[in-house]
Amino acid sequence: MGLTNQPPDLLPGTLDLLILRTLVAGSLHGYGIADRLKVLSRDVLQVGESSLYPALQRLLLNGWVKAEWGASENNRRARYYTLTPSGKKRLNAERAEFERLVGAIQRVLQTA
Amino acid sequence: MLMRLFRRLRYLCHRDQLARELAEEMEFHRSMSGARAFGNAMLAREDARAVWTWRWLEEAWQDVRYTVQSMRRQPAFALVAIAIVALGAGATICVFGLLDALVVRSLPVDRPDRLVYFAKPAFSYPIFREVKARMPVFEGVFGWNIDRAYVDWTGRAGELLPADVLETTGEFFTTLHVRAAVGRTFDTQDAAVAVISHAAWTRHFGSDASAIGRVIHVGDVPLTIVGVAPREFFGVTPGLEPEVIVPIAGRYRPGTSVFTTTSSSWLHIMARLKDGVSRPQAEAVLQTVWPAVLEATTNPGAPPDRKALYLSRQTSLEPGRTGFSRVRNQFGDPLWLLMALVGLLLAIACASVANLLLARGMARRREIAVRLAIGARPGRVLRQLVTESLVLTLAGSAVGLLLASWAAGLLVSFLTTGRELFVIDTAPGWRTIGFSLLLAVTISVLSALLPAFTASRGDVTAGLKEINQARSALLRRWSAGKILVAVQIALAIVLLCGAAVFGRSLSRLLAQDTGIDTARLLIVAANSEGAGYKDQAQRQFDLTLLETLRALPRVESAALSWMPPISNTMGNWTQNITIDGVPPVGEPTDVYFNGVSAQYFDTVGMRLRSGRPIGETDIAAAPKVVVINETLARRYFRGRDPIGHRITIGKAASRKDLEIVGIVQDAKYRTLQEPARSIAYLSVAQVEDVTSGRDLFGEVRASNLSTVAAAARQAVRLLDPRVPVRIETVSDRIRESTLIERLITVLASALAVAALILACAGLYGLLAYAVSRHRREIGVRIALGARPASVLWMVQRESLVLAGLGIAVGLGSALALGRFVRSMLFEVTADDPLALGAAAVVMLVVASTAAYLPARRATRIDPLTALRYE
Repeated sequence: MGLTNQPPDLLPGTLDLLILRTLVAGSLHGYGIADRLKVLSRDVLQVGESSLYPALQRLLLNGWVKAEWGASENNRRARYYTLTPSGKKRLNAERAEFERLVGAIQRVLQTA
Repeated sequence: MLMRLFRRLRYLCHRDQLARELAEEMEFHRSMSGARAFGNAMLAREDARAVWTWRWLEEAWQDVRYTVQSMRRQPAFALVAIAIVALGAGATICVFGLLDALVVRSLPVDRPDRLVYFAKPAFSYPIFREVKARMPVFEGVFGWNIDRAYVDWTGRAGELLPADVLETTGEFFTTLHVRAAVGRTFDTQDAAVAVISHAAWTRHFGSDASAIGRVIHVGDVPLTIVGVAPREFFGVTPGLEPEVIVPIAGRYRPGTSVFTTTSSSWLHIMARLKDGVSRPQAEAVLQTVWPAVLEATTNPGAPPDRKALYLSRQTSLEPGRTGFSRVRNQFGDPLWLLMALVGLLLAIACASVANLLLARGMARRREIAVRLAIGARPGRVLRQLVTESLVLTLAGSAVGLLLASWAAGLLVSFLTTGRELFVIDTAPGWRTIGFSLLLAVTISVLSALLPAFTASRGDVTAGLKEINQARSALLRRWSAGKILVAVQIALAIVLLCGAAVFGRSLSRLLAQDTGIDTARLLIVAANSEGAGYKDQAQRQFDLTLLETLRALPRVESAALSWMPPISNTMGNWTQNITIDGVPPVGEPTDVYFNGVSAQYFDTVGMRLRSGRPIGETDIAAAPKVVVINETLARRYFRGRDPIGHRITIGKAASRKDLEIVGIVQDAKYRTLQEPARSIAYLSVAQVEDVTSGRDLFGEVRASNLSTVAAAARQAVRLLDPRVPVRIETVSDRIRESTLIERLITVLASALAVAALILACAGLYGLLAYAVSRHRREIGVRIALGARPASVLWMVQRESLVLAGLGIAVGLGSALALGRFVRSMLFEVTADDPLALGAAAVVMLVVASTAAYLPARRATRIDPLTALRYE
């Protein structure tokens, strides 16, 4: 029955990192985040509701983002997410960790 | 972490609003992405929400709400299930509560696990004194005894009421670390004082603080009340609740023989270990000093063989956490047996609930299949089913708890006889409540697992199609429901066998010839000692009483004796004898003695076999005589005529060369259960040294017992209104003597009936369900010309096969379990064919009765309606 919460190609925890990254430039609503991820990844990362919203709730719970209601570009009510200072710290830490991990994987792939 | 918790709690407070916001936000998302719904929108929302909550908690709450809803829709199902659980759980909780109070519960004192008591029940005061001086590993040590005495609560003029008196050495309260609820306790410095129990304070003084300082009379000793014990404190004996606690220094005058004699063992010894000392360490110390303790207390004038015997006495330290209990020793084993029987009933109740849930699970296959199809996880469905069963069993257990505290009161009042006060706190303690909870969870998990497993395993498509293929057999060959019913029948058979075997044992016990004419005998126990009579005055009182009793109208005859017939716990007198100066060869069994007056044998209804009875002429100055019973004659004389031979009892000079003048028929001495005993009856006038200081029992033979009892009471009052008197029939004494047997039989029967009802209901439910599922097939058969008898047989056959299977398994188990109860049976073995046969027949009859209704319904199926119905 299992509906997975992560797009299958992502490493666990990576989605949270990517969401935080998209918010560095400014606040976005949920759809905006998914859209930004899609554009930045050149259509490789298509994040669905079923993984995006649990991830956003997780970030809210941890206090890394905060949410406010605002008007969207087409003048509808939308909830905008903004990075908090602790979220920024978290992003940097996660990013360093991620790069370390990716670097390690690449080294393995090149030498093997 | 703390912030996380805080945010989570805030979410839980505003969950509805926040859930709405999430829904709106996702709706917006979908509209922006062009209504391309990703996967399962509902599930996605649930997953997102779940981040915030403790998901299992939320789901559990959902399950509970759902269960309550579905119970409201089908109240009959819920009520039946709750009733079944209440029955099973109630019985279990009730017996557990009693076991807890008697066997498990700690004494209500500070750190009871540090207490120990000396095994081999009782010791003399000098031994206590030596132990106290030689055991530095004890923080404190005390000796105690419970005595039944008459207490005048108001001072000198009031009524004498019988009460249990706890007489202790002065270290009692300091060793137990018990403080008085009101006033103070006593210590080794006190003498003529008393601490009364909280219950006695309420009963006799209306909880008035002015009770402190009042004088009460215990026996004939005036004592000043100095304090009231805490409410929960009952002493050190679960099951007994002494009303008065007195220092032995106040109860007995200084210099009385109780403080010096080493031949009377009457004190129980308890001690508290010093901090840091373990029981094995203390035990080791005790074993090293014990020979010195015995040496120091030996009677220097005793003959060498007596001395050697005295020095060979052993003792050891036992854990004293739960106190010391005569009642526990008496009831402990039967209570465990009851617990086992009740466990069987509980298993049957579990099976019943499981069967109900199973049947419901079948009916809900469709619903469950739908839930699985729209994406519910199987584990989640399973949990829902377990929750349902948990709600049912918790409700049932709550009702069971209420039933149990009611039934426990009933049981205790049943255990209480006039004499042996049996006081137990039956209010459910936290342990009992905890046990009930544990029980409920166990029942629910056990009874839900099988149905839940069958249901959640169900194939989705098959469930949706609601398959209902007609099968050739009425029931599937091997269904869970069928097994459960067979198991129920087997368990019920075990209980039925138990009830039948114990019932047979009890009826054998009651039907045997006691040698006593129980129907026409009253026993008058007047306590002149309680009113201050001593020595010669006391004996004179007894003789006057005898004359008075004989003069009463409707009294055929009356007599006095040292022990009443069926003495039970009142005591006995047993010693070795020599015949004509020679120890008897062969069986060295002890001989039991009683001192009786003239007319005793006629009065109690014992027939003389030869010679003469004890008569009026056998006074103290006359030659000493003895009448023996048939068993003694058979064992010691082997065909010779015992009359004219002389026996010597023990070593006392006063009982040398008693002439055997008669032989009487055998009669029970202490209990109904005892085997035939060698008994010798002495003339009560010739054993003054044994009877001195004690009142004799009066036996009265009369035709109208209740009238004569009232007249006898009046007569004693006229003799001296201060003498307490208790009048009882021998039937009362037999009731007391067979208490445990009656208790087990009544309970086993009640449990067996409950088990029978449950098993019968299970069988009925199974067959009724099967018939309703197979209406069409049965209709076809009837349409094709099946006679009603063959349809009836088709259903009955199922029931008989199940019952037969259950009976076979049940009888096998009953036989295997029989050896555990052998010691509790009288002249019956656990494989008694009559008892087992009766159980099997009862079960077969009940099974076919249970099957009759569904079977008759099957024969009345109208083929046309049945076929149209599909």
